[in-house]
Amino acid sequence: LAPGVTGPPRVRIELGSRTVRWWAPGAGRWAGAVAVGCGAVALGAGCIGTTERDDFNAIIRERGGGLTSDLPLDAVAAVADELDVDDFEIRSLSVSPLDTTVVLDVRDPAVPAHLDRFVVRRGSVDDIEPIRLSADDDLDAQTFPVSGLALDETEAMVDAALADFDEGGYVSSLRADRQGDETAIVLALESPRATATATFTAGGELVAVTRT
Amino acid sequence: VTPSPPRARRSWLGGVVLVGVLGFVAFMTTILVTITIWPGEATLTAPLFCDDDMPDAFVVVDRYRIEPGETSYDFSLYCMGPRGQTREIGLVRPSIVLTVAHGVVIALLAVAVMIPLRRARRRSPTVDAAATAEP
Repeated sequence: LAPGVTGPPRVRIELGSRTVRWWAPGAGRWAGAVAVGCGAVALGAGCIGTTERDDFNAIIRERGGGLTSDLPLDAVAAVADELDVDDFEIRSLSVSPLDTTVVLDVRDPAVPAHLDRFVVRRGSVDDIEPIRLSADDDLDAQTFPVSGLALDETEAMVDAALADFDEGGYVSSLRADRQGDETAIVLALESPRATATATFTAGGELVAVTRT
Repeated sequence: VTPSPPRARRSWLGGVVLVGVLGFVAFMTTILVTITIWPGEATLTAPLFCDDDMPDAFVVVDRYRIEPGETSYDFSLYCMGPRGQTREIGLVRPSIVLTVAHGVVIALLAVAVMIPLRRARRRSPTVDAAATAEP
């Protein structure tokens, strides 16, 4: 608004020091309202019909976390395809359903003394990196065939784990590795008020749900 | 080889230009509507991209603060199932489908406007002739 001007408010558009145009004299209040309205629409536009990432993740959690058998099975198939084998040995398998990422520490079928980390995103191998082994590592004892994991029973494992956990809980991750002499599948459970782990055998039978 | 008659060549060229103009207008409409105003329009294409086990479609927006005062927005179409399982479709393929759909809608609107105009233009000389024929 121009300083020192009496009467109805006016809108002045300036470029540098030069006044380009006086606009809508006598109708400034309407012009102001229209400008504010257009600004609000412009700010609001671009978001119509969209879902914020945090809200989207909250919906996934409400539905149980998004862990299904497709995610690990597609990852195993992608790694088998990459290695050109039907089955292979792993030291561990981790699934993070929220970002649809599966990480497998895979024993190289061609060079069994080598261990490689395969990162699979959205069903395709995204990254392969060698893993440094220490003198204590015994791959014969630490690895196991991935075909021995009941990954096709993932949905049943999720249901069994959530049934023994808080209402509103969800599965945040899955991990399979050797625990002692046995291979175990462990689901990490979270709720607004607690966290827990659900341990299963390699065949998918529930062993225990333990609050952490 | 028989050369094409000039009239046929002109109508062929006119058709190519018309399709090009229609494609450009549809493309610009898609940029204006789908990316600038209503990104959620991409959910309308979900039946083409989402499997039966993931029927719920969302256009998810990610905001990135590049610098103070500068924000970048990424839109992507996702399909979601009853267990929360998701599949990312992205925005490129839905945008291509929407561009085609916008093109069809614009073409239909243009035809809907042009037909009454042509009819009115055809009628007007008859009316004038009838008016001049009266004694």
